[in-house]
Amino acid sequence: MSSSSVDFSDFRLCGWRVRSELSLPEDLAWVGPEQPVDIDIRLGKVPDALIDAVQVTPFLQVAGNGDCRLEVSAAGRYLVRQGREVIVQPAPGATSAEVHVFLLGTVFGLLCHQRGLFPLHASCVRIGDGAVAFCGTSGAGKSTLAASLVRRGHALVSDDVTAIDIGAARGPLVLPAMPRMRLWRDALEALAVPREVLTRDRIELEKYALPVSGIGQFLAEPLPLRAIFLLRSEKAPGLDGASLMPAMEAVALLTGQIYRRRHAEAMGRRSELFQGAARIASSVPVRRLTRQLDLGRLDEVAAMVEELVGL
Amino acid sequence: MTGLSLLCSYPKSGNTWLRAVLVEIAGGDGSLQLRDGLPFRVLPARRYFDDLMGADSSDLTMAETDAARAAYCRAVAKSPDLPRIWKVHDCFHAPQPNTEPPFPPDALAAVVYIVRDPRDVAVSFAHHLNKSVDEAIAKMADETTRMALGRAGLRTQLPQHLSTWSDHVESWLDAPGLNLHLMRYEDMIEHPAEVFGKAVRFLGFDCDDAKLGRALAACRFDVLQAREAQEGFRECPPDVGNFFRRGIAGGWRDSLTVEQERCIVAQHGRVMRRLGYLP
Repeated sequence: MSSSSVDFSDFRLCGWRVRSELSLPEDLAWVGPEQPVDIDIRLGKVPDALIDAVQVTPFLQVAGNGDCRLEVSAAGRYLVRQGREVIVQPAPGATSAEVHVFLLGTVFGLLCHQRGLFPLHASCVRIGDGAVAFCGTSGAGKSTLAASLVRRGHALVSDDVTAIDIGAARGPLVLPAMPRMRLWRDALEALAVPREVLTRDRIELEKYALPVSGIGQFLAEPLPLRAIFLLRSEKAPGLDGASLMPAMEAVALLTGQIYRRRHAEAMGRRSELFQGAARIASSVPVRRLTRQLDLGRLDEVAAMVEELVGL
Repeated sequence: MTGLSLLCSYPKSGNTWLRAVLVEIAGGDGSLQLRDGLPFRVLPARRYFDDLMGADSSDLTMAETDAARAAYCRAVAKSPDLPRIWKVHDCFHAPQPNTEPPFPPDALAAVVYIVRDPRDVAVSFAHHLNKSVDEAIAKMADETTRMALGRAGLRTQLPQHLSTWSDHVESWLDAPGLNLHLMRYEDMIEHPAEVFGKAVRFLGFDCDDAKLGRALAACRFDVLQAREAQEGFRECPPDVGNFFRRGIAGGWRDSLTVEQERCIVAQHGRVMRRLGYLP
């Protein structure tokens, strides 16, 4: 293929200018000022295996130099190098949405690691003048709580992976990721968002891609991290509350909530990430937020968060 | 790598009871608390799967997570920072043909398999699912039955393939290469000291009779029931009043209709005979 026949477009991801041969969702189109390209996404052949892999799972291989190879057989293969380059080899028959979901999920998180950021497994909104992140295990309700806050007028900063710049001069800075969220059917129903117009990334799963314009706004500019909540669900009513975690506990907790932590450690980031967690824990309050896991009470919980943050 | 130990059973067969006793023994007298749930948690949990496999299971299809379960089990076994003992409700073999079973014997040190009369399981399972007994019986006879399916929303556990009650039992009992210890719920009730003692020692715990006696007293069914009423139990499904419901053997006699009982025997008679539940 001659280079003139290749069609590239520019997109924005986490503030990076991404030049991509693969078309990405339209809401990621680059609209910012002229600036150098940070990341190239190209279509091409991804090898069957990394030769110098130090960590191997059925999905992800990590090489000693930090390069990564992700494969989900129905979607495709992704080679992620030096935080600057992604080669995508879509699987035969894979839809765009299927190829995107792993690119904007795990590959995005790996790029954050390769670029020296601290990707927290969290969804994040702007409350007041700062970023408030919600972390918790898969299924804890991070995206759902963030969506209910967005619907109450707080801008979305990131969904599922929150990229934090630890080295920023005035304390940890959150880099807004992309103006979209991913929500399951039950959450969409609780938020009264009609899903007829939404697409599913995997046709088998009742998980929908929601452009944030459907429920609120996106914040495109980096902003200081103000607070972190660890979501904890409680079955019994009447036990809602938040407790501030002691710093040592907060460091351990944040380390456990790093996106793709084990694979980042295989890249050689262990001590760097520990220092990052310590920096965050010493800069912002980390609270355990306990609430009854009841989708009917989203607004109540959102109001509690607003109050805790001091809005 | 030190292999994993599994506390394995079809749901509602006494797994939580065994876990409670192990908590008292492993953690010391008085360490049991129900409110936040018990240690020895379920192995197919998304948080560990995603962490070890480097992929978001919430974006993977069931077939994709199924295919990675053997690798996941090995990865847990190779991770010294993770627990050595886990609860398991999956059937031993994978739901799809040509897929490696989710529990490769090379990653396992020991398996305790708990079995309970399927007639009692049916009554308890119906309560647990908040469904009718007939629906529970149908699930126990369906080889595609899964738990934690979470069609509409995301569950913290991966979907787990149970298969039929009979297939569940035999898949474990007849699996090649396992260091397996079988215990019957009915024997746990009738001869607790002996039956729990064997299981506890099989799992490698150092435990004298006095300590075991104290653990069993702290985990007597009426004690667990009272504690659940007082402090709650995180593992109790929503909309189900209580997890610890009745805790007896043979309760089906006043709960199942003759027709329901005959249906279970017709479906599971051969395996029931094998376990001594039918003459």
